[in-house]
Amino acid sequence: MEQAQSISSKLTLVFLVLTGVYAQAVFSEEYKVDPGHSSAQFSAGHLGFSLLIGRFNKVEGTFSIDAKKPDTGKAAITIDAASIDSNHEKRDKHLRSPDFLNAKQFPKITFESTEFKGNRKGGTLKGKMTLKGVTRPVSFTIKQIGEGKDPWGGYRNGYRATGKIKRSDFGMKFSLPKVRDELVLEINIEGVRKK
Amino acid sequence: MASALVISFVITLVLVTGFGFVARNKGLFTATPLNMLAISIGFSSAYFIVYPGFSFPPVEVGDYIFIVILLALAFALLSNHYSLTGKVALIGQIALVTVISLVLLFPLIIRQTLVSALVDITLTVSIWMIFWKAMERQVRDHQNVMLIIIFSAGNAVIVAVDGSLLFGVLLAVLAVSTGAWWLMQLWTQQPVNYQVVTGFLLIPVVSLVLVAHHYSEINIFAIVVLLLIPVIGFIEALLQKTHTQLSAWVQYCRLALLGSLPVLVALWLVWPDESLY
Repeated sequence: MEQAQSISSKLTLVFLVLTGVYAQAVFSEEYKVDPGHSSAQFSAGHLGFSLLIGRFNKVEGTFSIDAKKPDTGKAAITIDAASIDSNHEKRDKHLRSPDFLNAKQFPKITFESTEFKGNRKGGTLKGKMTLKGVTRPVSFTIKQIGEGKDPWGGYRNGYRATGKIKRSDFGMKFSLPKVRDELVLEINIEGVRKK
Repeated sequence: MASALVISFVITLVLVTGFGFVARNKGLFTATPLNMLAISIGFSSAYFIVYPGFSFPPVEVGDYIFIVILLALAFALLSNHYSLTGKVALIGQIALVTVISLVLLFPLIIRQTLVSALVDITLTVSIWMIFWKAMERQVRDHQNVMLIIIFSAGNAVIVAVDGSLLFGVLLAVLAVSTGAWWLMQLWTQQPVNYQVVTGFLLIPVVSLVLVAHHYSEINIFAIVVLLLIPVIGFIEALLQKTHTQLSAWVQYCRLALLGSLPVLVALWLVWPDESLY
């Protein structure tokens, strides 16, 4: 009788562990960034008259969300510096040059999160951005755009992250203060949940 | 930017004048290093005003330009002191050009395969050496310096229009400090070893062009057209043989006009359809 009870309690323990692991797996979601539906935009002032909008066309990375522990959310994004597109080929070439991004020497712009406060719908994401070989802390305000099943059987989740940086903090001091120091960043990410 | 050009011009002018008094009656051996030092200080003072880098780490490719100037100066001083000629000078030139090319292109070649990196470096060193030798073998003295000034100024315009304003300005500063030295040289006629000065000037000029080309995607055809500037020197040498009666100033004007032709062609190749900013 005691032996049967012992086996029963062990089975219960195994069940609880397994369901716990399963629950953990269900609550923690890993997403891979869909480069075709993601971009990183920036806006910079033009002589005080208007805002120049540009974007980086190649964005990749991963992010994760834990429904039970939203604060453990993480993101790692890599941007191809040479993919800058300001709707002017010659200007893009200049922006890629050592005057600004020096994209040949520093081809990647990276962001690695260190802290997230918020929930599934949004919050504040802090992390370290490496641009032009210089790493600085950056903070983004995150807002969910939407999530759900896609027509191909996958599950997608999209966010918009907005933040500000000073280009001089990253060693881009050329033509200051004539060309504005502050840049407004907007990163639109669409992730496909990993199976 | 304009202030950097003025500063470079004035500092070089003042130093050449000052050093001229120091080197007076001391001959070519003393005057040559002092003249190169004047150009180096004239360029460097403007470089430190214009160049916004030096945020170590990381080391940016533009950070090396000052070191290149020091290397060029050291090599020129050695060439002058030991009167390096023939094979020794050639080996020294190749070694120096290879080291500078490796350092300047290091961030790019580490991402290449060994074979393509070797091809790139060999090609760069070969073009550089052909250019150097072409400049040494043609018309001497003032015309040679004029061609280097035209090459620097022409590249300054092309690089500024087609890629990097920063490296364009640095090339312009080098053209201005060399120009200031040359104007004083025309006036004072100090004895100077022009072959050593030519080699000294070519190192920073070609280094700047090399960096601008590799890191700022300058139109390759424009760069090739500008590399033809030494050919103008050979044409000038032929014209001098056929028109021997012309004064030096007319010859300088003719060389300036001929030298501006490749610059105009290169400018036509890179001119933007609309304003960048």
